[in-house]
Amino acid sequence: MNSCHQCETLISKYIEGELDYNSKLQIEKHLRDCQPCASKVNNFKVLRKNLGELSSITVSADFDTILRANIRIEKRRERHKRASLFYPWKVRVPIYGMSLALVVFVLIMVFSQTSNRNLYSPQAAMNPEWKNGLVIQQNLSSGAITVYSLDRESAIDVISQHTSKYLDEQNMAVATNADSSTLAVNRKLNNLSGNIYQTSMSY
Amino acid sequence: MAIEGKGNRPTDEDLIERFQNGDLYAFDLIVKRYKNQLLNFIFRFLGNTEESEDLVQETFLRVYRNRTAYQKVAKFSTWIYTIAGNLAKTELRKRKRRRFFSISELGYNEKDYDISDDAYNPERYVDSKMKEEIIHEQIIALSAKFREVILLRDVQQLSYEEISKIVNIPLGTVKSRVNRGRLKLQEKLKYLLER
Repeated sequence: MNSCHQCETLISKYIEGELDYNSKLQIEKHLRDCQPCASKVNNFKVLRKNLGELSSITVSADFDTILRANIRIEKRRERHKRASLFYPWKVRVPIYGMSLALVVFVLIMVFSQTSNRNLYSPQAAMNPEWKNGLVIQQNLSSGAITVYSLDRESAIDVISQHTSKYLDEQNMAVATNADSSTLAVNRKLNNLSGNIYQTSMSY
Repeated sequence: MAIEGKGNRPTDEDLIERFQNGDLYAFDLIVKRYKNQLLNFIFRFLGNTEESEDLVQETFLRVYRNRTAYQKVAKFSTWIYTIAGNLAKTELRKRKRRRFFSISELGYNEKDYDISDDAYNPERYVDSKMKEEIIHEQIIALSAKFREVILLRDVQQLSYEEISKIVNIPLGTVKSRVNRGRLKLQEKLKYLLER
C-alpha cells in the first residue's frame, strides 16, 4: 500500500471483508502507520452502524384504505380497457373490412346515381321535343338510339318499332335472337331518373 | 398446492406468482411486507414523508398494473425497488424544475440560498435524535447517485448484486460508488462520528 488514496479506495472492501489476504495485510500495515486513514476506517465502521440503526418510519393509518381505493379505480380502468378490446383483432378486422366495403359500395351507388342524372335527365329536359313527353336521340356515327320517355310503355314501343324485336315488358329485358350486345335496355334509369324512362339500342 | 418458501412463509416470488394468477390476498401480503421498507427508502431519498407515502402508493399501483410484466427470473425485491427508485428519481427531477422556475421568478438573491456551514455546529447536537436528523440531512445533501446506493446498501442492507440490478450499473461501479459515497458522508459527519 503506497498511498492514502489507494487506501481510501479499498476501505469499504476492507471493512466488509472483501479483500484478499495480501491486500488485507497491506492495508493493515498502512493503517498502523497512517493515523488519518485509520481514523477514516473507524469512521466508516461507525457510519455504517449509524446508517443501519436509523429509526424507521411507518406508513400512515389510512395507507391501506387509500391503496384499496386506488386499486378499485385501477380495476375499473382495466375493465373498461378490456371491454374496449372485447373483440379480438381476428374478429374486428373482418367487421371493419365489411363496414368499409359497405361504405364504398354506398358511395359508388350514390356517385353513379348522380352521374346518371347529370348525364341523361338534363339532356332530355333541354330537348325541344321533351314537351311531347318523348325524345328519341340517335348517334349518327355509331347508330345507337336512346329513347327518353315519361312512361315506360312508350319507351318500349319505340324500341320495339325500331328493332322489330319482342321486348319482355315485365322484366324490361331484351328477348332477341340477335346478338344481345347490339340491343341494350338501360334498366337502371327506370329507377334513377324518376319518371324518365330511357331505353337504348345500337346496331 | 404450490411449494412455498421456508416454513410456512411464502417467498416474494411465490406471492407475486399467486397474484399473477388472480390471488388478491397475495397482493395484500406483498403490500404488508414492503410498504414500510419502501417508505423508509423513499423518505431517506426525498426527505418528505407525505410525498414519500404518495410514491409508495404509486409503486404498489404500478406493481398491480404491471403484474404480468414481472418474470420469476428476477428477484421480486429488485423489481419493486427499481420501480420505487425510478419514481423517487423522477420526483427529484420535477423538484429541480420547480426550484428552477421558483428561483427564476424570484430573481437571484445570494442571501436566500447561502446555507451556512454553521448550521451543523457539533455542539448543538447532543442526543441521538438530533444525531439522526443530522445524518438524514447529510444523506439528502449527497448527490442522487451516491444517495441511492448508500441507502440501498447501508440502510436497506441489500446486496451489491441486488443494487447493481436495481440501479442498472455494473457491480464494480456499484462498489466504488458506495465507497465514494461513504467517504463523502464520513467527511461531512466526521465531527459526529469521532465523538
